[in-house]
Amino acid sequence: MNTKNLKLLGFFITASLVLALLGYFILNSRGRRNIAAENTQVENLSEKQKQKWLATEQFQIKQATDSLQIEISHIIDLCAENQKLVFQFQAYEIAIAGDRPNIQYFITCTEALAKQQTQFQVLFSDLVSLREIKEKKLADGFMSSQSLYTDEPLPARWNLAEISVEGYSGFKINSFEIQKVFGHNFEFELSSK
Amino acid sequence: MIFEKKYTLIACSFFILISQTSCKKGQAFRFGDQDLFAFGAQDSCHFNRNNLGVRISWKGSVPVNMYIHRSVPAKFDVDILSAANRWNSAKGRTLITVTRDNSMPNEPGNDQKNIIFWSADWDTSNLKEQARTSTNTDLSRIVDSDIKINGKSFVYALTTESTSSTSVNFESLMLHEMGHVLGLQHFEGDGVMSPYLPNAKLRFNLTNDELSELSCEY
Repeated sequence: MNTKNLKLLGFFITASLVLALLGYFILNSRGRRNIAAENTQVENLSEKQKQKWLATEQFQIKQATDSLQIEISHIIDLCAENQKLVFQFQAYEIAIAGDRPNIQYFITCTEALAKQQTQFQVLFSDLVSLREIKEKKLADGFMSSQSLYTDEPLPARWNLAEISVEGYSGFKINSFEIQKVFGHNFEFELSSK
Repeated sequence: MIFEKKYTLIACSFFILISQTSCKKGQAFRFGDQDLFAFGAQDSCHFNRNNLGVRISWKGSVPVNMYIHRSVPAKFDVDILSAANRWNSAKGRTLITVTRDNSMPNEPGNDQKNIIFWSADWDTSNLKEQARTSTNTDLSRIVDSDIKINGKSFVYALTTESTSSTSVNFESLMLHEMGHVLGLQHFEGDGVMSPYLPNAKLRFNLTNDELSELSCEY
């Protein structure tokens, strides 16, 4: 190998190293910017707001084709001074008398704590059945509906509009907070056919 | 010394017991309204709001053109027109127009045709409901609205007829339902948008509150 080739090889190795380092720094700084942006959202909050954000984040909600799976790992804390957890689903493209049809899914603290249950399932088929029966008792709670009618089509598009904790130290997590923490409002479709 | 150790042991056991008990009970969360970390809704002004908190109305797409379906007995046309005119005069502009059109479809639906239906069948669990207005929306805009009148469980009287304790004044009912067509929700009190209309009650005048809230959108 002559000196010219050696110089060329050296140049390529140096250039590759510089490019690799440059790439690493760019990617890393982007990552840092993202993390910084995320942190700013939370950092600007008061201590109590941060706690509420964390309490919201601990609801782990997964969408399946036929259901919503809800894991509430902090149910013992939520139920410490409260009686019920309520998930409110709303139809979002229709209103009856100015109000959106809604379905509430209630989890009773005493039952959940007695069974040490932290995982819950909202079956879409149960939601659909509320058009006919208005209220339904479930193995781990109950559901009720407002503004659903047997002589009207079942609204198709729904989302999670509110999570509320009812009791002595009850509080509500509104749709904006759900959107902020999870990035969406768990939209899903129901069909009665 | 032994005595002190005993006490320390008892104190420690007591502490462990307490801490475990409190752990089992859970650490209560306590949040108030001031701890909201995300909000952004417009004032409702008694209008429904979408997921982004924006009021839902017809926006600039007024007047709302409504059609009387052939199922509605023709004698009620005059009261329906009068109800629409009350909204228009109160606002000083045409918000609602009404015409009879016997060619309208037979079922309410999101077909961008705003129809007034008369229904002899009614959901048996809601027989106390005199009428029902449904609105379909696209983001913050109403795109369709239909009124269904419960022709099964009520007797209706025209404004020109003598009032009776067994009949509902039809014009007052239509005035209320047209408020929902425009996107208004119920108001407490005795105004047009009050949720309950007793038999024989004549309710024709929009309250100042109702007019002022309507002004948020129209």
